[in-house]
Amino acid sequence: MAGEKTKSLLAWVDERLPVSSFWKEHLAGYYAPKNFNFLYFFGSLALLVLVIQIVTGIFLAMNYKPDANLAFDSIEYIMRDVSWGWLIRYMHSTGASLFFVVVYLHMFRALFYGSFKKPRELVWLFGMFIFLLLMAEAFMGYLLPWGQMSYWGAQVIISLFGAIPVVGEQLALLIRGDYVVADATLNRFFALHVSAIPLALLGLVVFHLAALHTVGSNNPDGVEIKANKDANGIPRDGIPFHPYYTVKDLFVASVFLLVFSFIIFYTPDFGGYFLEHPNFEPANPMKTPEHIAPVWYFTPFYSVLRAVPDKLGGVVAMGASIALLFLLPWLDRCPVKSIRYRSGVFKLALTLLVVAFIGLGILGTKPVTTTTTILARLFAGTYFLFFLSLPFYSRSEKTTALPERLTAAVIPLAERKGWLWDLVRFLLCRVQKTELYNRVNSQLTVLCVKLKQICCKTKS
Amino acid sequence: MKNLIAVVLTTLVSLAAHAEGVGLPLEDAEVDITDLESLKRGARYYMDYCAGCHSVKHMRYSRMSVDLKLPEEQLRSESLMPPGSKFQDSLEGSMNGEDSKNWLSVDPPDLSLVARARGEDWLFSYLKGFYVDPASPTGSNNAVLKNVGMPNVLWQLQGIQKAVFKQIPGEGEALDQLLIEHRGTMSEDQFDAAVTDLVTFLAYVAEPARFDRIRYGKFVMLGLLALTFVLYRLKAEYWKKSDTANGDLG
Repeated sequence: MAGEKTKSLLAWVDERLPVSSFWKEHLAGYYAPKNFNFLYFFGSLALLVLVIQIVTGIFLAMNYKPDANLAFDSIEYIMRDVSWGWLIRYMHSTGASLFFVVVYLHMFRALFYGSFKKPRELVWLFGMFIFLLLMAEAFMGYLLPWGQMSYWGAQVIISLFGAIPVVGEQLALLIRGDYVVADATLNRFFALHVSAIPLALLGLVVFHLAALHTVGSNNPDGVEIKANKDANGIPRDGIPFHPYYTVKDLFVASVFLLVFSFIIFYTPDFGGYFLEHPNFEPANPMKTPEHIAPVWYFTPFYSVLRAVPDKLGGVVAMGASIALLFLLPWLDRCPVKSIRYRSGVFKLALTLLVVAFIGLGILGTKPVTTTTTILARLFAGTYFLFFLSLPFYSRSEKTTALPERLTAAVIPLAERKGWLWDLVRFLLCRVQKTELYNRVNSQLTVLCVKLKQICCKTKS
Repeated sequence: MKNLIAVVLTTLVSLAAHAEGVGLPLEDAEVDITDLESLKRGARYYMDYCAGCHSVKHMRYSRMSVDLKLPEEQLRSESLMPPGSKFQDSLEGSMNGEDSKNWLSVDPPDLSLVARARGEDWLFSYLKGFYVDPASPTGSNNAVLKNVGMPNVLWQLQGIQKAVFKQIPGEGEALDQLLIEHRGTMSEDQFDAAVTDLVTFLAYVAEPARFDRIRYGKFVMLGLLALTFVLYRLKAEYWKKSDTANGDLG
């Protein structure tokens, strides 16, 4: 009876709004490759963090005062006098950092499995615009607590626009609304942070997903599942996103929330990386801190900026380090997508890129010395070399044969080829022969059996 | 070979000396925010030695009363609250900015967030780091914060410290260590404990929510662990079916 009623209600709505067809097209009838591995979770996690940021942001905006005289104290008011204010604030500050963790891993996945390549160029471009806006959103949000690092970080970054020839100084003035970072800057950053940029972000996320669902998801093998369909027109290697990936994503979201909560409840400063110590001092325009560093997620690009001795040159290099990412679909001319079937040259290049990016990130948090400058130049060179050499070797790369159908989500260790995996297997073998390993292993087996007994008992 | 080792060792030693810098290295403050007795003693020291000049404007007596389990009457009777102040007031200092500017040439900073901005180890070392310096207008200088405007208010407890300098070739004089010249009312261990109590109190006022987050944290983590387990079983149940995984995938 109730079922009948729901059906007729749904039919009534469907005549007026495409609810059922939307559900079918994007969830129950959207076929995703069945061999997604853990690198494929970060897209949905990014969406989860976006929702967390928007919801906590709304509650913060209810109590925050965008005024240079009140801003700092209003944050402490939220931390102390607003009911659960501390939780909401820590969720927002931790969420900002984890947003970048998730997004960087999401972007790495695209590089690893070639998800930016034809036909997914637009998916990548929309994603890159999201990344750019996310950086703007984080930068403006970081000014709002009006601490020393908020203030001086903004002062340094906005002054970079002044390096642009001819219009630079006027542009910096336009951004600040004053000759230094001041109340006017705080007000406009607040407006942009809470309305303009989030709206644009949401719009871009819709485009990102619409483009993705038009071409379908890539997979760890980098072969198109749409090329192999059964009699009903359903990809043989695809499974409906709902329920299979919705339940998987729910589980992953829960694991993510465990990490998220651990940070919020036990180490919200994250050792001065998520909430920087100098930012607990109110902004003081008369006192420049000894060492100004941006928050950790900007440090790779900040390092590139500092690696160049000339101000304009540094700004250009930093801009280029982001702009090159946009061009990736056209820089990489290898038709094979996944790293599984690409040449050793590309594997080495991608490894070096990751090392350089992390290296730049670490250096960006440190004060400048001769050693760090040399290292930063070395890493920045490696970073640019990855993008600039790609068009030359990628066309004539020695790739291996692509499979007909999808293979495993994670290739078992025994089946991996190459001297590196031979070495890993050899070392693992040596470890397994040791006395300690055997003792630990037997202990673990006993523990597992005990746990199973306990679980089975509660079940019956 | 011997020479090479000597060169390496010398470089390492000089690097280590360089890393130390001019000031003394910070000492470890063993702060335990959950130690209620330490917090109460810290509040006592704060009111006796700090509240004359400094304020903690983001902390209310009422909040302190709840967190430290000190009822309002006790706060008043033990003069942990200045006479005439309201229960909801925040911990304001008794000196006004004009006077302090005249007397000390600085306005004593608000201490609400000093433990989060500077760190607990810094505070601990700073409070222990005063030494006699006739050149300074207050008669004392500090090993951690050079030429600080604050006088050594804890001298009666700690006693009077003398600085020992060493010569570093090419760089001039550097602080080597602090020695107690005249003992105060406390032994060294007692004084360390007193400063620890005070730093604990300052760590508490910097983040009173620390009590809440540690209290609720374990329940949230346990709840999420249970949820993760249930969701894992749900996922496993769906992915068991052979039509999705073809047996070998997933």
